[in-house]
Amino acid sequence: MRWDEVDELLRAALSQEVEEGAKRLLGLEERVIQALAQRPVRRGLGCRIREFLSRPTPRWALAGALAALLLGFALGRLTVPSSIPQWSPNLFVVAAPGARAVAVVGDFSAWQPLPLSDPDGDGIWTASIPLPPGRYEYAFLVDGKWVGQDPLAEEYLRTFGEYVSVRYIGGDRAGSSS
Amino acid sequence: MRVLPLSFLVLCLGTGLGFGQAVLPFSAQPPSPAEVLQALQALDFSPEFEATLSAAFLSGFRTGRATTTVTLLLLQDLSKLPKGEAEQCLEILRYALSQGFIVDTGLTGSSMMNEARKLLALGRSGEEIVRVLSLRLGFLLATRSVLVRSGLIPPPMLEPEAPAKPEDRVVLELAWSVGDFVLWEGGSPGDPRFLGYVQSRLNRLSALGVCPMEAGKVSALLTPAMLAEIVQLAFQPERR
Repeated sequence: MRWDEVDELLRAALSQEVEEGAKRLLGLEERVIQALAQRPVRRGLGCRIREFLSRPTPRWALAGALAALLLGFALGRLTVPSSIPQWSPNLFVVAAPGARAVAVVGDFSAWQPLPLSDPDGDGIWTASIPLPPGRYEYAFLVDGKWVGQDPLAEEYLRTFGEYVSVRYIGGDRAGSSS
Repeated sequence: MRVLPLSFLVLCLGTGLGFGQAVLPFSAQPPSPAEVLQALQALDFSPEFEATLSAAFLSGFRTGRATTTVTLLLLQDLSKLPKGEAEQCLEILRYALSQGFIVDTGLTGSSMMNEARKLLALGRSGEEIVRVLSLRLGFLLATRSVLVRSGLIPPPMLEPEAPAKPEDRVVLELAWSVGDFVLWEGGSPGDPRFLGYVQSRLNRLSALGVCPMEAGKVSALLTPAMLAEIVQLAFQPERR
């Protein structure tokens, strides 16, 4: 093939490409404008909050009211003025392997049973009871049986043949009983 | 338009706050005197006795000589005893209140009501409880008598609405200490440990702030003869 024939072929191919491309360029400007119009506008957070507040739908208003009520309730629980002083807790411990129920009774409960727990099942039953300073008589009930001699007690009393333990809570010996 | 939803939210917040503050103390509140009187009514005593007891307990609640918490529990317990024994127990308590004694310190120590509850927890009979309460009343009367005669405390005024005084607590703790030594420790009036036992307890309670300062002064001035006299008078009411 001669060089002038090649030139001819290339010229024909290029002119065909230009003609086809020109067809695609028709209406390009309108298409670009349409595409830009369809693209969402990215707004700032403040703008969106303002928009939300200016157009409250009933659903959001109810959710907001509920949240405010719950928040207020929680704050109320936390800020309530309590007349009950917060005393340091005192640990009551008894070893009762195999027991099904263990409780402590004493002056601090008007001799009503307060349950002890043994969550890890090692037979050591405990209860932590906050108490104001004072002298307290108490005993344990292991499966309903009276156990009056607590090794951690400071004194014992014998009432109708049954022992009762005594602890002094507070003051300089508070640590020994807590 | 924007003010309205914000006001609504603030209103909800305030309502929740108030409700939260109102709900919490309910579970921690002691029973009301009305609840105690209702429990008393359930014991079905004669209207006269019920009225006398009601007046005594209400006065006790007002003056700090009894609490609704322990009284209500005791009344519920007494309903399980024979009616006659329950009546005797309550008559002792009523008389003690009429004499200006503290019969219940709440949940912070010894008292006639807590003693009765302890004996019930120990499964003792109504008859035994009446006997112990009557002895405890004897120790209270004897202790006050000896302390007044020794000039360690002023004579009681015995006005129904007079609030409990520091010396009332001193009398209670001293009488209890003497009673514990004699009734439960098996001690006798001549026991050389007696004075030390009583003084140590009073001093300890005073140091804890449970007993008023007067307890320390009384403790320092106690003598074995005074303690022996308290025991004698407790068992011989005619000599008080």
